[in-house]
Amino acid sequence: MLWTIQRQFESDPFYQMRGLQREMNRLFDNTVTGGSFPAVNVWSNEENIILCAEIPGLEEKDINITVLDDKLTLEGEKKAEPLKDDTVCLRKERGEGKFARSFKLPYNVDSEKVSAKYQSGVLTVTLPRSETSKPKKIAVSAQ
Amino acid sequence: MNKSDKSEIVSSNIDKAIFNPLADIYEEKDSVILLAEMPGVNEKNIDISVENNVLTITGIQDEEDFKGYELMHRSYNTGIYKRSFSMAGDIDSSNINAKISNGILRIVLPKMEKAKPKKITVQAEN
Repeated sequence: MLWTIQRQFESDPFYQMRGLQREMNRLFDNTVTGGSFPAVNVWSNEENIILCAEIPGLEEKDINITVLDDKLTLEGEKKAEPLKDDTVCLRKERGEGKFARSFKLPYNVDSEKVSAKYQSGVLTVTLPRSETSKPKKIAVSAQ
Repeated sequence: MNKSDKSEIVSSNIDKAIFNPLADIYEEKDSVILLAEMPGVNEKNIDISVENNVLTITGIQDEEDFKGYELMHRSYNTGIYKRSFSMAGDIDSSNINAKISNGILRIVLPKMEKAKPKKITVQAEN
């Protein structure tokens, strides 16, 4: 039997409550604990996805981007500040170490055409939609 | 660009969110080094000022605006990074050096001559 997704949600009395819980968790994830690293903003339209990530203090060559179908992975390492022997650390808030974060994209992208730039500590990845995943219009002919 | 121009930039961006940049502070023999994370800030949009031994750093982030795109997910906002640090009296505020690369602002605050540790050699008397 074909159920519409909307119907399923309506029939579950706890659906709304779970949604609220999810929203609350998301709220605290981002503000209290800092959330996943790196923080990203994602923009999209029918043709492309643009993903921006705040990763200060890396070199271009230290960022690895892998794309397969609709999965994008960002990897890299934030290196610690090289210190001399007699340096005293008075305050340390910045994090360091390896990171990796994967994303599932709303459609398959053409991995050959993906481009990325790193400027002022912000990584911008542009992912063009693959031709095969583009929606096709089907004309209905009258008989 | 002189200082008054910069404060105009800040006041014209008054509706933007203000964030505290994460910072590391290290002390070396001759200087104190301050590192602050300011991703998305261009070197033209940074203002560093010292007043009454308070060092204030301000950086305005470039806004992300993609025409014809819809925002799907946001986990950071863009705005202004601003933070003040009170300095110990032994910093030579006329020789402060700052640079930004890859979103990390690095400020070198040299210590004044008299604050540097001096080595006193003891000579043996015959």
